[in-house]
Amino acid sequence: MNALTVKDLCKTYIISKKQNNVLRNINFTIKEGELTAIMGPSGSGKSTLLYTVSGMDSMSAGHVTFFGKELDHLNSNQLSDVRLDEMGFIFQQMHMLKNLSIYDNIILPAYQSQNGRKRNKRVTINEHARSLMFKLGIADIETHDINEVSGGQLQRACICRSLINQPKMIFADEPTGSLNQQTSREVMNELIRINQEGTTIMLVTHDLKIAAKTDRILYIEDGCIKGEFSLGKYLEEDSIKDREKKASNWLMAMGW
Amino acid sequence: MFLRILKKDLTRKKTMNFILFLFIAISTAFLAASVNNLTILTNAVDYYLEQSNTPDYLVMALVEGDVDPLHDYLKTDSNSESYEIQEGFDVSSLDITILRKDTQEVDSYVSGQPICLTANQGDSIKIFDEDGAIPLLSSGEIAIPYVDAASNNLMIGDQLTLVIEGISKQFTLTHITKDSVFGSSMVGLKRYLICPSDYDEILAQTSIPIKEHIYSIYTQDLARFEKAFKNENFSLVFYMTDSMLRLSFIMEMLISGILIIVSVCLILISFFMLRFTIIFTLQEDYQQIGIMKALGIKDRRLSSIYLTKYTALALIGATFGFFLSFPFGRLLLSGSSPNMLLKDTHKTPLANALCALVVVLLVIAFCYSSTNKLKKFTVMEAIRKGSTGERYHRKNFIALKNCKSLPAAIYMAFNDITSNLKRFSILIITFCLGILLIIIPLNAANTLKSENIVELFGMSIPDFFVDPGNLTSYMGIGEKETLVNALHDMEDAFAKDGYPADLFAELVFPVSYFTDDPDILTSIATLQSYNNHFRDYALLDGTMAVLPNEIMLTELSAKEMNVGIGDSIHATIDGTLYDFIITGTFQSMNMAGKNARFADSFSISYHNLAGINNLEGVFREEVNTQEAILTLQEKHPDYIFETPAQYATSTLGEIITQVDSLKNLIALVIIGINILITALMMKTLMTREHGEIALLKSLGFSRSTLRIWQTVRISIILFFAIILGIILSILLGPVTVGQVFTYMGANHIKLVVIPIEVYIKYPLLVLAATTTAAFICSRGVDQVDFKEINNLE
Repeated sequence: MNALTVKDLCKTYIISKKQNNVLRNINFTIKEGELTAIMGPSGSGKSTLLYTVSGMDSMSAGHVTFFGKELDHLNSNQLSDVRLDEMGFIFQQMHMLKNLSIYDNIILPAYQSQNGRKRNKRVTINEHARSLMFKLGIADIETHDINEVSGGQLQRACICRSLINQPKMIFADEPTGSLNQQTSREVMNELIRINQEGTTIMLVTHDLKIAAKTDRILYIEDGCIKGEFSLGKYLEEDSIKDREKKASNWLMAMGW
Repeated sequence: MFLRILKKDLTRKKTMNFILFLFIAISTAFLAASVNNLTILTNAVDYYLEQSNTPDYLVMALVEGDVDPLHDYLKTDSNSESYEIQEGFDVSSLDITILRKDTQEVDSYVSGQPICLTANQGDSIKIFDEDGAIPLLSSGEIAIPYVDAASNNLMIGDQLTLVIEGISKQFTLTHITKDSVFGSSMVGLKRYLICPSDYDEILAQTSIPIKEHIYSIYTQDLARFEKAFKNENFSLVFYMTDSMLRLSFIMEMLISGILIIVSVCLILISFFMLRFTIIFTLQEDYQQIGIMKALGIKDRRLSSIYLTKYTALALIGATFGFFLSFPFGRLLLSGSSPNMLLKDTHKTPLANALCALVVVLLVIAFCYSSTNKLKKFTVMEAIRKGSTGERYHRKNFIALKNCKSLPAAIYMAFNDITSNLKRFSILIITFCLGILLIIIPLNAANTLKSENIVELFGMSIPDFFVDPGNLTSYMGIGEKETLVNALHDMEDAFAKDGYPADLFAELVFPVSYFTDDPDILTSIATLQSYNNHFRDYALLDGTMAVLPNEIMLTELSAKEMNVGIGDSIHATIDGTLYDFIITGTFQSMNMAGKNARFADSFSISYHNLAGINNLEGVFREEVNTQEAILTLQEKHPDYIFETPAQYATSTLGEIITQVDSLKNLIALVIIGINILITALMMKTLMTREHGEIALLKSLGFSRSTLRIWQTVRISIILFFAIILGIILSILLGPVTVGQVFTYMGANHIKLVVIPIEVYIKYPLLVLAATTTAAFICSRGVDQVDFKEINNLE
């Protein structure tokens, strides 16, 4: 089944009375369970594409189908419900509400979901949040304030938050962009594990090492998809160097 | 370059700068209007008496024919500097009918007090019209005081037909007057003004035997004049000194007192708003200041940029607020007594200008202290908006995980407040002051409306009050029997009607007392009831005066004379020295609390009588009081029968209406202020929270959820403010409006609190209006773009 189908997607901004076509007739499909990377030079429209297909930003033209739902036909409340219950988001900056503890930030979207509004479900949500934190190795920072933890821990907490409603798909905008190499690797490994557990992921990255671990790379330039490169599922026994080399060669050919 | 930074700042932060400008303007308007009103209200009585040229001593006497012994005395009296006599005659309210201009309906006339018809507009005790001008009347025109116009719902243009000695004369109401001496609801006579030609025509057509003369006497030595004057034993309807006259404005002072409390609270609100906004907007600039510091710009230059910006904003805002203060001040003053002539300080707006200057200086001072504090920050601390990054502390007091069923939006609203209590406390205090401003006048109005107010005038609560319409005819007669016989006749008539009742009268005698030195006299309006053996008066301490040599004093009088229960005071009445033992103390709002009460058994000549407050009755048998009063009213249409509650309303009717309208005006002003503050605060908070709103939007929080979060936060703040306001009103009631009552003579007032109004109706009204305003303002979340997630701190 297709997780995401994008057809003739266009996005235009008007800046100082000048039309700026950020996305031009984008067409692609992401299959359920797939881990897809979006790459391209700065200003090519990667993040805009991610935000538009996830329903956060409006599209100027085209169609986006998310697990059978046509996002372009939904109103803002319905889009909110889809984002809350069926999507997860991870940003480059570890955005969290400063008045809440790490744990409360994680469970907040779940408490707002249809399930979370029921009293008896909140116990289950709390258990789920704890198990996620345990899996991602941050169980010990549950009661901490957001300024009491490291960047890596905070990004893991953001991943936990994105998974709390057991989304069908995660959208990640340079999730390792603010992290050092070591932490970056650890966070990426978590995303791969989540993907292996069945969650579809679309991520924007500049990092070849991250892209090499994905199933497929879409290359975008000047708002158009220039090409795509399939790497296949990353398995632990695979040589990462080989995947990086293949991806690098392809990207060089694309003009990266 | 600095100018460019400044220009960029002003254009980039348009919203915040506009909010700051609005707050400065509103603060200036509140401050200037309140200070201006304070100066007007605190000197209102002095100004009014000065403008109307009230005398040092005012006497009213009945004059038959051309014999005027008092005038003869004044001609030769060396203690008086000058005097003026104004002439009039008594008109019964029963002889007046109304023809209403709009409906052409004919109505009977209601006036609780005797009426003196006069044409005399001399230099003393001047009468003013609604605009503060001397009314100029033509033939067929009449001017009447506000109190009577209000109680008869009279409008300009209505026709009044007066029947005088069988002659009917029609007048058109052209002016509603302010009368400094007789206009107050507490003075038992009203002056109606007609033109001299009409007055002379009436006199020519009728043979009015007795005229009323009002003597305005000006003297340098009042004590000496009064002592000599009293020795003459003139037969007077009443007399009044300047100080007694001031006391007749107690009800007007109650309204002024409430307005003064409102003004003080508005000044506090304006300071709180200013401080909050300036600190808040400057915190917004910390990061920018940090970056400039990092670039090497010196602290002094940085301070000068922000000082210039805030000074410019303060000057523009304060100028705007200065002009806004005039209509706002007039709006507040519109709730003051229509019987008062208030100084129009708006023509000399010095106070308003000074207040505007104070606001500008305050803004600069707040700004200077904040930028000064910034000098102590390192570059990184400034960039982190004052946080060192090293101080960790838990912010949320209640964890979301512990909320078993609370919706997330409501939790966030609650958590925001508890996490930033200092920031929101200013808003809580501001709203709380508003609630106090509603509750305090509300309690004052309900206290005035209660039946127990009768006791506060030093009276007992009878079954009914009766006004035969001729109470003044018993004054100055010297014979007790005339009144006694009249009462017996009325008792017999009521018994024949099937309702036997004991009638008694509340009499007022002006008596001068002394303790040790006979030359140091204290003039006290002394009450005595005739025939009231059946019930006790409300006492504060001690026992009722029973024997002729026993007396009760109000606490205020006792304090003034420095005596207490068991002490003796003395008075010379009709040349005889009497010694009285004080047996008890009570409170009374008559003559602002300067009262005493003789025992019923004390015998005093009725030529000393200055007034009869009322006639009261107690049924001898168990009857349905309402039914009995209605029956008696039917049988005696010339009399006015009232229950104690009706009596309180008719005596204080006008003032109750005024306090009621003032209460409603204040409630409206407060709701307006709350809506304004809510709108500005929400805009301010949302500007700062764009990052959070964008994050929550991206996580899937719907617009309605975000709007509920923003709205509920204001509602919770207001809810706490209401709780705090109610608690504070209980504590502050006695020291605010209670003090106004104390000033009026009732120093042990128990404010009447009607729970459904104080705890439910008005708080809900404010909550509903403010929450609606908050919900409308929360539409601002719709404008926040998800890209602003990067503005998250």
